[in-house]
This record gives sequence, structure tokens and C-alpha cells, in this order.
Amino acid sequence: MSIQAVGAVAALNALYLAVGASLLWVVRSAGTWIDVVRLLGLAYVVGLVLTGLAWSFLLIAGVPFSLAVVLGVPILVTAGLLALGRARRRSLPTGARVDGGSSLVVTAVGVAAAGVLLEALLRSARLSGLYWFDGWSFWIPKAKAIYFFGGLDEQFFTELPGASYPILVPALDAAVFHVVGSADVLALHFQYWLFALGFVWALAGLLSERVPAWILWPCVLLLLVAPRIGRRFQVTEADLFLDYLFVLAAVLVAFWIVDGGRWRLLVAALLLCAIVNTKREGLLLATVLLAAALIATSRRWRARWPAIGIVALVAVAAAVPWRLWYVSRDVEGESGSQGLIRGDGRDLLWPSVRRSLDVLWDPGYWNLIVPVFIGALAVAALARVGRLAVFSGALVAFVVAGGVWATWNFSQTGAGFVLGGNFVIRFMGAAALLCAATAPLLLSAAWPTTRSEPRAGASRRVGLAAVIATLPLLAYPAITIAADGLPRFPTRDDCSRPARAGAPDVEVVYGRFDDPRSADQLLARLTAVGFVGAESAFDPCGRWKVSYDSVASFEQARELAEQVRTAGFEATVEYRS
Amino acid sequence: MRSVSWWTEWPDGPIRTGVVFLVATVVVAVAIVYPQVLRELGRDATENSAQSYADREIAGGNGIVVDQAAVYAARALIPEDARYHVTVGDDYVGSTLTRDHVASYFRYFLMPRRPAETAGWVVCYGCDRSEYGDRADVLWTDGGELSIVKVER
Repeated sequence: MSIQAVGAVAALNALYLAVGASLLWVVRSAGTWIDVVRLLGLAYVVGLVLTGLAWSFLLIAGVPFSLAVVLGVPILVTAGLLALGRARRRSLPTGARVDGGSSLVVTAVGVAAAGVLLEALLRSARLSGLYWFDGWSFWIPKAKAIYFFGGLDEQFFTELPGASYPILVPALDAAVFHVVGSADVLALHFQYWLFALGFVWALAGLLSERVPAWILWPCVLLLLVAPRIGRRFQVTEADLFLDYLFVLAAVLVAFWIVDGGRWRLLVAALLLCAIVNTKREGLLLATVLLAAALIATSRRWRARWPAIGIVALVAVAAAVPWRLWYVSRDVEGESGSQGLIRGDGRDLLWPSVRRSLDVLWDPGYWNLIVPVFIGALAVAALARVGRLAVFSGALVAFVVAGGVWATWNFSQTGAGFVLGGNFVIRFMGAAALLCAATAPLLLSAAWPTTRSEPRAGASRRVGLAAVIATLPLLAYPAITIAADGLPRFPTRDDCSRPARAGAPDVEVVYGRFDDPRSADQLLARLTAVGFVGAESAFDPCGRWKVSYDSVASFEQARELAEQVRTAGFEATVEYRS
Repeated sequence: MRSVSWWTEWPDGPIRTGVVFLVATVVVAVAIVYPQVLRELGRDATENSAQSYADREIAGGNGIVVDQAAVYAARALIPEDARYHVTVGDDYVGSTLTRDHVASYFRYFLMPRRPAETAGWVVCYGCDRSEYGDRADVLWTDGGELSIVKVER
């Protein structure tokens, strides 16, 4: 991944942000500039899924997926939304008043702590290879197929494992390949880190509307340090991405249940459309989310259920095109060959329940997220929080039940293990992330007083908060650069290290080749004119190196290199590798 | 400073106590784990940075392809518009991981080249090359069980 690739991916993501910010401007009142910053993460995620869905539908319709489409779709969508906003006489945001006080200082500490962790995650992820089985087995091959063949290539999209999985994530990955200019898999780690950043920002921004900082930020940090969440941000698979969308949709629906804000349901509907186009589990997650919403609004069903019904219809409509595509090509359905209910295996039901609950409870995966959620649910029940507690509790219970069902139905042992991975752990990620997102919501709803008036002296704390938030964010990269030097952008030329005069352990390199035959040919030509003793060997950069390493000193190597060059070949003196 | 009754008086007191207890638990859990996570991420970054180009590019395939040179040779030798087939011989003595997944890994690595059963290019893991007879031209071999063969069809 080059520095240019980083810039290209950043620019692409800026387009997502533009789409989402435009959409939020159209669907909700402008508010203040502080609101805009608070909802910047949500805007990014919304823009991402709206653009990704548009690309997915174009791909299904057979439109060639080119760089022009990659750039044109978000630009046109943004322009259309801005025109719509003007037509609806939307005004620009006004004012930027920040409520000072201790809450702002806590927010600053939370932003700094979360920010440093995210920086460390980026540093770790940037030069990681692609290790994840499903990633190289089918997610990335699908993206490569879209990139190389300009669409849903019949062979790859019907023969790859997980052929029935929807194409939203491969389309987003393929867009990265287009802007980078090659199928640079390493660039995806940066993209997936941006997904994570957008999600964390979106979640914190949404929750901060109702959750005081002293409850919110510890929970956000708990989410980030959970081994199966934060440490997997760079994994180039769709599991965590699906969970992001599901959790954000759940929070938006929870808020809608409480305050009836129509824009929240609209955005949640868009996220649900993306959920059903991300993974097959998305269908299940979307269903349980809407079922929990029905339960939580049952006392006001006349007013709320029609809206939920419309959202369900929209999500179903969004799910249909991809299903038509793969069914028309005889791809095995998303329920697998065994169907939705297995006829045998009653004896596996209890092991499935135990396995699912064990996974969800395991602090080795989720730290204390689940115990804290259960505690929050109990406190919320004690405080008679009502609809929020019903919705959160029902939704988590439904997701767990879904995990039990999937474990029972799809695994051979009831333990949730299948070839190539352990799906019950991945599926329970949705429940754990949901617990992390709803626990602070429940705690703040239970807390008897959550709002306090800004006190005198608050304005000074704005400056203090700014310093607290930004100093660690600047200090962490500065410290790592001081310790390890500037970030490296490795290339295949890294193996070529010209030696300085007088250097020990040198060799004379006659050439490096992608094709082993070219290396053998050079070796033969060198031998034919008398330069014997050289050899061709595979180097750590994936090339065949033709070199001679039986030289006693730098001077001897330099003399040999000059003789070889005089004979019409290339030769450099390099450090021996 | 709040009075004791503020924390204990029913019904709000126990609720406040419960909320504060849970948030304090989270703060303690984060405080314990945070430095450890930061250290681990730093260590991961150092390890990832120290990897060779080939180790990083092959990554998940390092435990599968046996010899990195095999995938690079295949990418160099097989034209982008050609079809290829990865075959593992019945007598191949390598690991189950290789036997089960090497074809899948090559499919990922060699794209846009297409896999096909009857392809002219064969990536051979311990296969019997004699079955191709005079039609086979071995273009690369690791000197052992791995080879890349061009077969006249």
C-alpha cells in the first residue's frame, strides 16, 4: 500500500461522507454545527451504505463497474440530495455553542482515549497481511472479480464459497481497488479501519444525545478493548461490518421508539436495506430488530406498527434483487441444503443453547460487555425504564435465540463449528456489540437525573477539553515516529539494498525477475561469457534474484560489478540478503 | 458531596448505586486492559512491519502453499487471460491444509486468471506428471513435488 493509495482511499471515503451528510441534511433539521460534528460518523456510515447499495443494484442490473461509476454515483447522489435539500428549503446549520463543564472534560478524555486506541489499531492493521480464511476464500475474490471483470462474473459468483452471500461488501472493496488502481489487498485494511472509525464515531455521536459522558465513554472504550471487537477492526470480512450496521439501526430504532423522530426511522430503514444486502445473517438480524420494535411499541401499535411495516417492506424490496440474481443462476439458497429446520438432531439442541450462551458470556471474547448489559437491564427494570428496556432486552434475546438456531441448524455437532471458522462466535458478535451499545442507553435512562446546567467557568473548560482531546492524539503518533521512524510503505523493490562503500557481507546482483525463466536465461548468458558461479534464487520480495555472493569485500564486489557492466550486463553491489 | 440517603433511599438510591457501580466496573476493566491492548497493538505493528514483502502478500497462504515461489512462479508464468488447474496428487505427502485449500488459495492469488478443470496450465502438487505424457512442458519446479506444467490440449 503506497501513500498514494492511502490518499485515494481517503478521497473515496470523503465522497461517502459527502453523500451521507447531504442525506442527513435532507431528512433532519439542520441543527447546530456541533450536531453536524456529532453526527459526522453517522453521516459517513449512511453515505457508505447508500453508495454501496446503489453500486450493488447497478451491478445486479449488469451495469459495468468502472472507475467512472465508482466516482460518478456518489457525486451524482450528493448533487441530487443537495438539490432536494434546497427544494425543501433546508437551512444551513447555525451556531456552535458547546455546553462546557465537567461533562465536556470527560468527553475530551473519552475522545482522546478512544482516539489513541484507534490510532494504535491503524498502526497495527496497516501492514497486516490478509490472514482470514473467508477473506481470501471468497470475500476478496468476489471484490477482485468485480474489479477485474467489471461486474458479477458468472463463473466466480456462482462457484466461489458463500456464493449466495450478497454483494454490498465486495462492491465497496472493488471500489477501493478502482481508486487505488490495482487489487491492492493491503489498502483494504485502511478502508476497514475507516469503517470502524465511522462506526465508533456514529455510535458515540448518536448515544451522546441521551447518554451523559461519564456513562458513555467508559462503555465505548470497553467496546474498543473487547478482544473480538476492537482487535478485529481490520479483518476484511463482512461480519463486523454487518454488526456495525445492525447496532446503529437498533440505536436509531430505540430512539424512534422513545421520541418518534421520523428521520431516525428513515435512516434505520436505509441501514436495514444494507443489512439484508451484506450477509445472509442480515435477513435474520433485520427480522429480529423489527420484531423487537413491534413488541416495544405494542401499547401504541396503531401509531407505530404501520411505520414498522413500511420499513419491513422497504427492507424486503431491497433484499429481492440479489436473491433474484442468484436464484436465476441455480446458486444454493441462503438456508443451505438442510433448509431452515433440521429434521434430525434434537439431541443437538441443548448443546447449541449451551454453546451460544457460553460464547456470549466469555470475557475472553467480549470482556465485561455482557455482564454489564445484564446489570444495566436489571437497573433499568428497577427504574421502570419501560420501552427502551423492553426493546433492548427483547432484541438481545432474539439475537441470542437466532444464534442458538443457527448453531443447531447449521453445525454438525451443536457446537457451532463449521469448516473454516466458528460461526457462532461471529454471529454472537452482533449480540455483544448490541449489548455494548444499549447498556449505556439503559444506564442513562435509569439514572434519575442525567442533565445538569452548565456552571460558571465552563468556558475555560472548553479550552482545557480541547487540549485534553488533541494532545494525546498528536503525542501517540509523535512517540511512535520517534521510536520507529516514519511510516514505511513497502514495495517489491525493498529487497534491493545498494551497499555503501566498505560495507561487509555484500553480493553482486545481476538482476531481479518476476518470471523464473528470465532469471534462468540471464544466468545462462552470464555463464556463457565466463561469469560463472552466479545463481538464481527466490527472494523475500517474491522475485528471482540472479546474484554472485562469493566476494570477500566490497572492493572486490565493485570490481566484479564493473567487469560485468563492461560486458553489457547490469550489476549492482548490494547488502547480502 | 451527596448524603448517604441519596445513594440508599428507595427507589432512586439503589438505582443510582447500581448505575455508578456498573460504570465504575467498566472504568476499572478498561483501565486494566487498555495499556495491555496498546502494548499488544504496538507489538503487532512491529511484527507486521518486519515481515518480508512475500510473507505479507501471501499471508494466509503461507501455511498452505508450501513454497512461496510456487504462487509467484504461477503468477509470472500463467498469462492473465489463461485458465489453469491446481491438482493435488493422490500420493501427495503434504499437510491436509494444503490438500484441502491450496486450489482455493491459488484462485484468490492468481485472479484474474480463471480456474478450469481442463485448463492448459497445471499447478501440480505431487501429481503424476507422466499422465500428461509428451504434451507436458514443466516450466517451473521446486525440485520436489511442486511444479507448473504447460499441457498441450
